[in-house]
Amino acid sequence: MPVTLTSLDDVKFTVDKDVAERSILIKNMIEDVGESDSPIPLPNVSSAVLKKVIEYCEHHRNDPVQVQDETDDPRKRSNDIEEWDMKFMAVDQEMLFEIILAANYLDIKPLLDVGCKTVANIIKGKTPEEIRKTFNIVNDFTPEEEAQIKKENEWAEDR
Amino acid sequence: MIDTPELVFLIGQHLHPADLRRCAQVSQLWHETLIPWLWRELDDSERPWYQMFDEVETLLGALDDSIMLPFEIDPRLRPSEIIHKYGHHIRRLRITHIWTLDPREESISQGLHTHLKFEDSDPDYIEDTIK
Repeated sequence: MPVTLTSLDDVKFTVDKDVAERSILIKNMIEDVGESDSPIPLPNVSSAVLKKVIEYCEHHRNDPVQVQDETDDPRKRSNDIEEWDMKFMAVDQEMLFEIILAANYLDIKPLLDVGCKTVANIIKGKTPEEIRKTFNIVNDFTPEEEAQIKKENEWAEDR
Repeated sequence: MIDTPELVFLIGQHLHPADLRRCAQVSQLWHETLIPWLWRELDDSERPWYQMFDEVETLLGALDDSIMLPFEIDPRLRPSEIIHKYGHHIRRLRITHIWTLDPREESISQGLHTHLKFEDSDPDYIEDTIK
């Protein structure tokens, strides 16, 4: 049975139930409301982003459901991203961030992980100035503040 | 542009301490959001306590207060100050170099010292180890 999703900009997407239910938020909504023909509103997700998210869910529709341990440290898991996901994530920064936020809102853990890993890999090994340049961030520290923070957390360098 | 705390927080989970540290220097927002991730776990197995913060300062802290130092130390960078500022973020503390704790450095070891009670240790041994 197909499910209809409505994006922020009021675009309707009809997808199979098992695809939509990759999102725990939607899965819970369907469980709570029961079988219904009325579309599910997703007021936090634009159609451009929702289209991408659905593409991901369709590709991964047969993946086993990830059992998550709450204490599980994502950093201990491998930073490897499978090839399809890597290509899927080859989008501009704005879209990448929108996908991460949507995955968090929709509660699609594997997509959230892949998105965050992609950004973590971009950040890895970069200096603060390089990070600012990469993400277009303004340095709002005074030089003194920056030097102090650098010193205070020096212990983390060889971890 | 990564400009929401939510996004920085989510990405922070996937960063290792060395990267977290550099990210915490990027901007005020990044600092505020990432410091809890950076300080979440403190583990001295690779670097003992006395070298974890300002090495020289910690060692000197074990010496007599009346000793004049040939250089000035920024009081904000004293280990006790740093722990005071960030210590509340620690959720897991792993200490393998327990003997490197200076029993007289109150803010670092007072709590541990009280709980562990160094009853079985020879006080002279602790003193010697520190010096």
